[in-house]
Amino acid sequence: MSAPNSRSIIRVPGRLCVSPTDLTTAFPHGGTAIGNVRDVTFERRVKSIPIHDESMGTHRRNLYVGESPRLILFLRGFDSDAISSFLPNALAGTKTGENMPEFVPTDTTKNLAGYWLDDQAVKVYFSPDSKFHKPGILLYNASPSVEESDRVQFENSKNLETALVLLALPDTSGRTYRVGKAADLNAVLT
Amino acid sequence: MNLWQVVKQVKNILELQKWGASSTPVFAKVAITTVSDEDVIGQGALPAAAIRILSGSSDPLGEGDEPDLISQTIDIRIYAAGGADALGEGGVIGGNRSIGQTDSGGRGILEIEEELFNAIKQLTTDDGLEIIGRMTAGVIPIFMEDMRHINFRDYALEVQCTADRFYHPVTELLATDDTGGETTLTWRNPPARFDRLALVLRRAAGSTPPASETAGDPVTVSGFPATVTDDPGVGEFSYAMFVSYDEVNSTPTTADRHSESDTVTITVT
Repeated sequence: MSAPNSRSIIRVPGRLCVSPTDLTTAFPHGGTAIGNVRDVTFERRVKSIPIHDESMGTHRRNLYVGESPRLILFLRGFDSDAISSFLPNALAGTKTGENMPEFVPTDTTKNLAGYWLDDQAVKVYFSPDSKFHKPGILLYNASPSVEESDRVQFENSKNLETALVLLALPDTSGRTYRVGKAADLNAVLT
Repeated sequence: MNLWQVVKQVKNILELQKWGASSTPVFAKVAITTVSDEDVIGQGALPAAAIRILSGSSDPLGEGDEPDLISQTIDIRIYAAGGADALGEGGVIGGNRSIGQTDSGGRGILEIEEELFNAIKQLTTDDGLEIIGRMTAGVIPIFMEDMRHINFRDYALEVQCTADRFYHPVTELLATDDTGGETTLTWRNPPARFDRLALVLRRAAGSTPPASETAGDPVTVSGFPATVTDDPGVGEFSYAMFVSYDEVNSTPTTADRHSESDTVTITVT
């Protein structure tokens, strides 16, 4: 237990990368940097069932039944690596080499309706700018999806942004997420 | 860190900022001040950075529930020569210079501002400070009696401070048994600060680490390495590592403050 300390009230700006290999090295930690992000929000979405005791007329126990964790954020800009990592379909431009989002329902070589988005799941790390002082978020098997309501605005008065949801699915070892300092997360990275 | 420590660290890091990999400082003068522009310029050292304390508020995001958490605004005003051309363009964006890239001579104020941002970034990444750039003002000229002009520009930074002082400790202290009565300790050093002096490693037999920087037996650590080998003999030993700081001397020489300790216990075979 720690005594209350105003120093423990922190703000944690950072950046996002996929497939990191060593969190103690400089960003992107051996992985691929994913442009700029904002409003990074981690939702554990803990599920619980209060058990009501009719004899007492109140709840007496509270049953933990798991979590549905996810990371929600805005991708700022039109980052080529973000497009290839997080969208169901992308086409590499033949001139610039940059990835373009696409949807071609008649092209059977593409990921069409019925495609399991979790086949695209990747290890994602939210890397705090101050990696030795602030906690980061490690998603072992993050399945990306863009909300159906997402609106990417192409205009002069708005930033071009994409709302992204990363579902923290269990990896082959059953791990979904961990939140902590880089040194500690690195010890359980692989 | 509290405001006193923060502004001293801001001053320190601006003084240490160099052009690229050279040893040439960006700023000829850095001061924490309340005096007028004329007094700063009158020091005759440009470019200069004047750090001024503006307003602050307690825990604005928490409705003031935590009065020891202070959101403080500080202003950094950069002064730079106005340039030799008739329209003052060089004073803003820089002009021809024979000195090269590793000197402040001939630099415009917008080139110097890049180095200010680089320095501030170090405070957030290395020191763990929370700093938000809240406002950048226009480039303003001050006309001197000798027909020269000096440009200045303000940068208002919001810094999260605490009421109490803070001394960065070492972290990630670990010990491994080397056998033969030896052990190797490793750790992560605290960031470089204006007042950082030395590492203090103490050892005690048993499972209870030394409780203070004078308890137990000393283990010599010179400078700020990230590892040291000790030969306490066979048995169980506990180590406590402190960081000493000097707030009195401008160049740290005598310990008068110490950080919290990081501790580890090891059985040496």
